[in-house]
Amino acid sequence: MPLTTIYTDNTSTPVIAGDYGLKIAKAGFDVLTASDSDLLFNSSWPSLQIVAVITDTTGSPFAHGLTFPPLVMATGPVPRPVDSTYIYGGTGTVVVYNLDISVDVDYSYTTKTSSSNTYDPDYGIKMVKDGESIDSTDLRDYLVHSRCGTPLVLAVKNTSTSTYTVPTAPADYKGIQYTQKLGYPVFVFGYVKAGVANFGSITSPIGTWHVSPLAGQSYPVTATNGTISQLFITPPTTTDASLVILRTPMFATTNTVNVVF
Amino acid sequence: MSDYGLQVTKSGVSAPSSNPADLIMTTKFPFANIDPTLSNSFRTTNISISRDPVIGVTTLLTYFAHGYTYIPKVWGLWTVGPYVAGTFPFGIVNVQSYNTYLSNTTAANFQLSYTVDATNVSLYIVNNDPSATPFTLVGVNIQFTSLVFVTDLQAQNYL
Repeated sequence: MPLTTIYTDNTSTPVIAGDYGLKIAKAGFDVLTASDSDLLFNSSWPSLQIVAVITDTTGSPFAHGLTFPPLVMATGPVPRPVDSTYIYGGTGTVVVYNLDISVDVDYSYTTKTSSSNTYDPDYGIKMVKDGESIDSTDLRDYLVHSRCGTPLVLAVKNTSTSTYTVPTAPADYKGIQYTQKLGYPVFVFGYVKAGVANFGSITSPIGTWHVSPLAGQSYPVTATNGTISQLFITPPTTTDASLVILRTPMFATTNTVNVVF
Repeated sequence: MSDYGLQVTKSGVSAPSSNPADLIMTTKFPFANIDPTLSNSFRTTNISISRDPVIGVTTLLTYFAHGYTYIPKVWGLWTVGPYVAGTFPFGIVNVQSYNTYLSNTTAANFQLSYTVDATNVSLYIVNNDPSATPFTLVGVNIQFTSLVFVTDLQAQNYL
C-alpha cells in the first residue's frame, strides 16, 4: 500500500555491538580496524538463524518451540499468525527464525553498504551439522559457512517507541514508522497484535501476532514506499504492531536483469 | 544436539544459555544462508509490460535458474509502479508467501505470483478484470527483488 503521509519515525532502541565475540576480516583487511562491510563474519551481526522448518497438515495450532513470537515465513498464500508458543492458521510449511518480532530494537551498525567478496575456500570459518562431513559440498550441511551471508536485521519497531498517533483517529491509535537508509530495497514485514480472539477470521487467541501485508484494501495493511514504512494500531481490536526490517547480507552484489514481457 | 559449537550471549547474560532469547548467535541453529557465488542468489528482475496477458489466464512473465538441484526457500519482493490514473492503484508490495494480490475494485484485480521448483524461480501475472474494457497493464514496470536461500523445505528442527 502506498504511503500517503509521512510522519515521524519511532525513537531508536539501539543495540551497541559488544566488544566481544568472533570476527573474521576479508583477505587484506585488518580485523581490528575493518568496517563491517570488510568482514566475512561477525558474531555481532543480527543474522537470521533457522530454528525449524515445520510442515503441518492438520491445520491445528502447533508449537514452534520458542518462548517469544518469532519471525515465521510460510509457503502458500495463507498468512500464519504466531504467539509466544504456537503457530496458527492453515496448513503447509513454515520456516521459523530466531527473531523476536515483539521486542523493539535497532541495529544501526548494520546500515552499511554491501560489498562484494571473492570466495577463497581456504579462508574463513565453517561448521558442519552433526553427522555431516566437513568436506561436504552441499551448503545445507553447514551450520555456518563464511562463503555465505544471511539477511540482517535492521530493526524491529513497535508501539513502545511510537512518536505519533493517527490524525483524526482516537488518541490511542498509535502509529509506527521506520525510515531505512540503505538506498535499495529491504524486506519489510508488518504485524499487528490482536486484541480480540479470532482476528481476521483465523482461529487464534487474543495476543496473537497477525501478518499485516503490504498489499490489501482492508486493515491491517503495512504502507511503504520502499524507504519509509508505516503501520498503526486500532485498539481494542489491535493492541500493538511490529515492523520487522531486514536487509541483504553484508556482502552482496547487485544483480539486475531487465526483461520485456 | 552434540556438545560443540559457538555461542555468543547478549550482554549481561552468562554463557552458556539454553534460552534462544539470550543469544546473539549460536551454531545450534543454522544460519539462513545465501550463497553469493550463485549469481541469482540476489537478484532484481525489472519487467516492462509491453502487452496485456490474456484476461483470466495466469501467464508466465519470466523465469530464472536459482542454481540448486532442489527447491530452495525464496523471498520475493514485488514493486509495482508508478501509479497511473485510471489504472490499477500501484505501490510497493511484498509477498510473505508465494502470491500477492492487487486490486482496484473487488472485481477488477491482477495478481503477481512466483513459484519455485527444483530448477527455476518463475514469475507470473494474471489480469482478472472482468469488465468489457479491462484495465491495461501496458506500460507498467514491475520489479521483483529476490533472495534465494540455501535452505530447502525439508522438515528440520534444531531446538
